[in-house]
Amino acid sequence: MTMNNQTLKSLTNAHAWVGLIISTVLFVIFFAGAISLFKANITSWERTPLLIDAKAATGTPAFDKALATIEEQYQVEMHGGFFIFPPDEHNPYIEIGFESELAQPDPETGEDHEHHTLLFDATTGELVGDSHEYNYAEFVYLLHYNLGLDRPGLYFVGLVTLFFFVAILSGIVIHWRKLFSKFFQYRKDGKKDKWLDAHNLIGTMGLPMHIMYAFTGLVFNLVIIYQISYAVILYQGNQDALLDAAGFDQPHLEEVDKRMAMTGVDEMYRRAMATMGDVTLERISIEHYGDESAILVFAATSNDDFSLWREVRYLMSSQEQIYLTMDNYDNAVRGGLSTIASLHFGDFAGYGMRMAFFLFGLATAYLIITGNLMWIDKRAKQRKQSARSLNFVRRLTSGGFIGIVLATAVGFVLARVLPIEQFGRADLIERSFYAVWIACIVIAQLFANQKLFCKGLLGVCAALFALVAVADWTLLYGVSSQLEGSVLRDVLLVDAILLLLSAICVGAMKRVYASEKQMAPTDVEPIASQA
Amino acid sequence: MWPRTLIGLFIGLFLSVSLVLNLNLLLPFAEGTRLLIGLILAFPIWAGCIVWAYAYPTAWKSFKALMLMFVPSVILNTTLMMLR
Repeated sequence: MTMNNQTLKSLTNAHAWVGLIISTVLFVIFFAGAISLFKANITSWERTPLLIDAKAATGTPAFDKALATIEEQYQVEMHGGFFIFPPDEHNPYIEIGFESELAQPDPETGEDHEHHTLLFDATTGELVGDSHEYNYAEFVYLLHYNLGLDRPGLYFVGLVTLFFFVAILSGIVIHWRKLFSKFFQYRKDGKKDKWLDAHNLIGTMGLPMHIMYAFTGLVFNLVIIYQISYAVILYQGNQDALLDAAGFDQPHLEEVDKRMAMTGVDEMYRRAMATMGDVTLERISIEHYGDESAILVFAATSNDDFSLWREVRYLMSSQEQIYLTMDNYDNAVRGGLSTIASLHFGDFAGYGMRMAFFLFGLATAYLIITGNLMWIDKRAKQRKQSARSLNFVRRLTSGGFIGIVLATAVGFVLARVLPIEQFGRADLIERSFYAVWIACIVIAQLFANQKLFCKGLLGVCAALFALVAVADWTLLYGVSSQLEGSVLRDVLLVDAILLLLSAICVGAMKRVYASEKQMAPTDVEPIASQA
Repeated sequence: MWPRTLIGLFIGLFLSVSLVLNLNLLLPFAEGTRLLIGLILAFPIWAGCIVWAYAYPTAWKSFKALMLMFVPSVILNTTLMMLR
């Protein structure tokens, strides 16, 4: 065996091993990420009962009135973040996130403050509701980048993404000699070759996208590692010096601990929009809320340039402009980070691009499944392979992968059928999601006939996705028929995506049936699924 | 497989930091540009090092290969930092 062949063998083994270890989490990341591309549309879809009565603000949204409402009802924690999201085409309300002080620490958690994300009428500034209660898309998005596990989850997803990058690079090396000669090869007849070819085809055709996703995902989740390394070695432990060099050097003031009413936002909003030109306002924030040192920040993206941020800052006490950038904070790192974010979110070329990203995300999820199936297939032929561990992987592939799809479908059903005013609906949806997923994983381990299990699960997924879309225009026609404009577009778009997901589940189910007919009966338990 | 994974993960991380630091100290660009180049290159180098560790049949061979790159890189780091 030549050195090259030995290296190739080592890398092929490593590629399969790494792929198998990270497969379940990576599948969740890609499946949830694909759906999250339409996060704003799904949120609008979920809130349709609320949006029927909403009136879009004409002119300046009533930020000052909304802040007055908060002042009346909450004791805002001055040291916490304070974020205002202006109304947009998907959301006619002002959305404000902040922390309030609790009279007594929470007996369970010991927390002395509480997070809020509230919706306010954009004309009257009146409180409409708790945004968190109808935000299923946000939950799916959290799954995508931290599995709903906060900071530990963020780093864990980062680590999985690093090994996704490793799988890509090792895949390139393994496949390099055949990369061009077998570029269009897809042998749809023959079980193993079909999976291998599908794996290679998606891997090769999607290579630039895979590299982009792995790299940009790593930057989001693990940049802290290099940030600390750089600060310690290059800047002698001075984190602020590093941040300044990286363009995070906007003016901040020391808190003076003198209370001041937070007013004048409407006027400064008008000035900010005039100053920044043709932009989409992404967020407003207030540093040192309630203090005389409070700074009002308007951050926006240019409508005429690719991934270009503009920001203007005002001192709230005097309404004096103290900072302005028209070009990504005039810094290469900030400009680079902005580009990285745009590439990852696919937010720069309308819905066509987003749909392409969506289909690509699902294709990558399929790539992950084919990798697992090849591993199972290969191991099933090895005499020394333990039947117990092979069954475990086979059943984990069925339960874990299809289970996450079913849990997502159940989440969509609940997001649609639970009344918008029901208290604790977000918790109920999240708990149901995890319960369904865990149940699928556990039941898969107990189910001897994996083909039947996969077919049944895929059938239920297809039915639930389709049911939600159809219900929008039958059972809930009374609500849907009143929609218009961008909200109607959001509902139609989400329904189309749900029907597409349903069709994919039906297609996968048919392949399980087809493979069952093709395969001769053997003593070995059949492969989990070809879904 | 685990020993090679850990060698690639940790020595690969230190090697990526070291190589990118050398570039930062050597390249004649503005500070922000050098930081951006480091940001862009660091993760691919790290992932590449893990792949490199997997390319050898034993953990010891992986360790030697990575250290052969890491030690000179750290010496260069030290020299450049002292000359700065």
